[in-house]
Amino acid sequence: MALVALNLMLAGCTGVFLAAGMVTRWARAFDHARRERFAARWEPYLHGRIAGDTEPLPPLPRHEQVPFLMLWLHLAGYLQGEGEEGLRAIGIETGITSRVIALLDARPPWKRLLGARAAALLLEPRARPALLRLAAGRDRKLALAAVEALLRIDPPAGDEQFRVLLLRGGWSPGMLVNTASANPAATGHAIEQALANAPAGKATAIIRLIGLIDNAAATPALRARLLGNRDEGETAALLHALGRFGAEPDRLAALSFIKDTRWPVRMQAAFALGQLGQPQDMDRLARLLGDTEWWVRYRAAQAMLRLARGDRAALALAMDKVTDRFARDAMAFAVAEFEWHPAQ
Amino acid sequence: MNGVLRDTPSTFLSAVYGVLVPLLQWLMTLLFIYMVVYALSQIIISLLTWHQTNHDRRYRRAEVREFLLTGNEPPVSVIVPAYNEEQTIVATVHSMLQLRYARYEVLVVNDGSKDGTLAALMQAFDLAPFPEVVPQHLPSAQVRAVYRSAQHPRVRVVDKVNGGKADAINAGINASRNPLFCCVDADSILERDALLRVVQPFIEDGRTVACGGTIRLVNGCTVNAGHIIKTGLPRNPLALFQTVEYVRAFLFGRMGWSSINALLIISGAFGLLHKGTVVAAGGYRHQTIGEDMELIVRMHRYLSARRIPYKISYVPDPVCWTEAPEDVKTLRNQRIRWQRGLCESLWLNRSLLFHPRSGLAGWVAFPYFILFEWAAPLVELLGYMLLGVAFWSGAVRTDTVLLFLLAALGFGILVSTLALWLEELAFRIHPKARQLLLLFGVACLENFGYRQVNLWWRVRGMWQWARGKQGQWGEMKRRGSGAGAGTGAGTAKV
Repeated sequence: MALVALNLMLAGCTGVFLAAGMVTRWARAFDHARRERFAARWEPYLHGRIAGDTEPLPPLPRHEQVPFLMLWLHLAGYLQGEGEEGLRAIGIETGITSRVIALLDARPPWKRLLGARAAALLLEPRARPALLRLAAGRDRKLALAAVEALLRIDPPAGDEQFRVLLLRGGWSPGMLVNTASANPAATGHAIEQALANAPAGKATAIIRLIGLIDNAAATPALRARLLGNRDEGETAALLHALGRFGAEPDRLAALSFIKDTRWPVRMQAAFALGQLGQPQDMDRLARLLGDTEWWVRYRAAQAMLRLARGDRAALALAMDKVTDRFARDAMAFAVAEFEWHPAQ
Repeated sequence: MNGVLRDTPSTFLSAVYGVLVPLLQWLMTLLFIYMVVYALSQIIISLLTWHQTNHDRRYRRAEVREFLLTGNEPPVSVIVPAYNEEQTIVATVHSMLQLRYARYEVLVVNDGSKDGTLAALMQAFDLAPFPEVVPQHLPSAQVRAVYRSAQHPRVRVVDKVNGGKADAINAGINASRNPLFCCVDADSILERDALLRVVQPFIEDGRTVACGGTIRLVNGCTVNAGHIIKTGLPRNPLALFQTVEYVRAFLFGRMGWSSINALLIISGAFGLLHKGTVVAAGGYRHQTIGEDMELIVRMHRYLSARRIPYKISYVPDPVCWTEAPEDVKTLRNQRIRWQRGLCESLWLNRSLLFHPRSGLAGWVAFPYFILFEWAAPLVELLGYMLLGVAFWSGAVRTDTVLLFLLAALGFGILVSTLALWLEELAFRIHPKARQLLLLFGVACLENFGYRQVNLWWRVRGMWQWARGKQGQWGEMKRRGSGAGAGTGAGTAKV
């Protein structure tokens, strides 16, 4: 009996899932067609308003508000800032603002995400309390969307939340770039604050973010962080960032790290010297050419090339003192690469 | 199982039956329990997959900026190990050069090919030797030369002494310049957005160390200039069976495991990995034949043992298209190799099992793989033998034997149907309803012959592993890979 029941159950389940497959197919086709029809109806109005038309909008029933928000946000996303005023005016005119605020407290996360994106475009101040809650939540995407919205709606609150977000850690710098670029003045301050307050060893992503957004104004904060720093990742990232944005004091700092026991630190010290160094640093870099680590040799060779600025005689003079085969290989490679792409 | 025995007419057999019947009953009960536990585990995985698919699909619709190329994506090295790929390599590299991604390099590793792979590359991309010194972060066979393309700054070719696929990838990792690398087989086609999609978990979560995408079969699809322009189903029955297998293996299994951070496999044909973590974990192991799975299991072991927070993800929509074998010999070699690879990966990393810090990977996924992937061929073979003995000895009623067999096959069909439903939910790759019905028919048919042959190959794979026989990569007999077939202006149906 048990086997008969099991077989019947298996056959039944198989039938149900096959039917579910077919129903899913039809439901999605139906949904797709409905969205296409909706887009065909609304896109001319949206494009027209962006272009300055004043044709009255048709009514937007409640069941069409979410599809409208998606279409509206997609258009805003692809226009990347253009026509934003027109799109905001359409949003207000259709009366979706109260729905957007309600979405911020909806149960499904995707609806809350939609609400946060829409609130950012509408610049709706009533969304602030809900956005603050979302920014403090565990869902990373939602928190980031909420902070982005706050940075537009209420920059001081957004600045504070962005700082808190940075200190929570676990972020990849690439994900934060868009948020940091949303309001560079406000986020720049938040980044510096976060850099100053981050626990030891937890600031590497923040330092990389500074490099990604070319925030040279953060140089004093970077210098302060480098003082007495013991963390390998952080020190290496700091030397790299200071190599890009720093000046003479940072050259001296880089020189103090070229004999560090950790190779990533020596490698970034060589990089920084290549950016900030003086001709008299060539000999020190030449010594790094004999390093045990390939990356240190390679960066030292690149740094020497940069310092020589095409002066073959200076380079030859420095190389005369090098007898190590690996050092010569590294230099030959860097020279060949330079000649291959001289612009770099 | 009680009440299913035949009446025993002769006292002569009663002594034999006295031993045989309880033993058969006991074994069949065990088999029954195994099947039920297997079915329950599949249902749980499918529910996880369903939940994740729904969540991702809705989130994506709400996330308007997703998959817009921002230029802030981390740079990637695409490593293409090539051994005797003269026919396809140029088209593959051309297809890689059309990827929609800001910062990436294409690094072809010519693993001592005996044909004209290197010559074809040199001619097609105007390669010139470059005095590049390749660092030795990972052990690999000697690098003979490095070439750069004058036409395409993204392209570099590492020419090395033959050492196998793992060795070639290690050489590629050594020569790569970016923090992430993506391994792609030389006969595969990446969708234009594949890199942009597979990199998202790295952007969204700084803990991500590896992410896999979906592999689909190019057989039956129409390819133009190295890109899929029309999906279809293959005519070859072997390739059709494999289409269902791939759907089952990728969307069904991997997405569910990924949602609980317990994914143990990322296909070597297409996966994005964090170079620093791979180097720290020791890179690809030369001695194993399933080096892709072995590396991922080892990464779990390495990171969890050191309490390093990490995520190993799977995203279903970045798709890599590859050609499935259409002849029995190549398929047999592949399946034997896969089973051996699985055995090696689990054995070499057995310390992950129930390790206090191994999380769900060591406490759920690893035992699952041992029970339902490693042991499955043995259990299934034992089941067939048991049913045979029961049938021929008459110890169990014929209808019971048939019902048992039917249930075993029914489980297989149910799992495939579940996977097809999830495929519909996530992608709807096959545009026509009759294609879905055909795949369902194939999912039923594969249980009559194909599954048993596959089972035998897997048992052979286990036997070879147990004997410690040295593994080798078999020759892949191609009909003309998608990448190669559609090069240039022409369009090809593969």
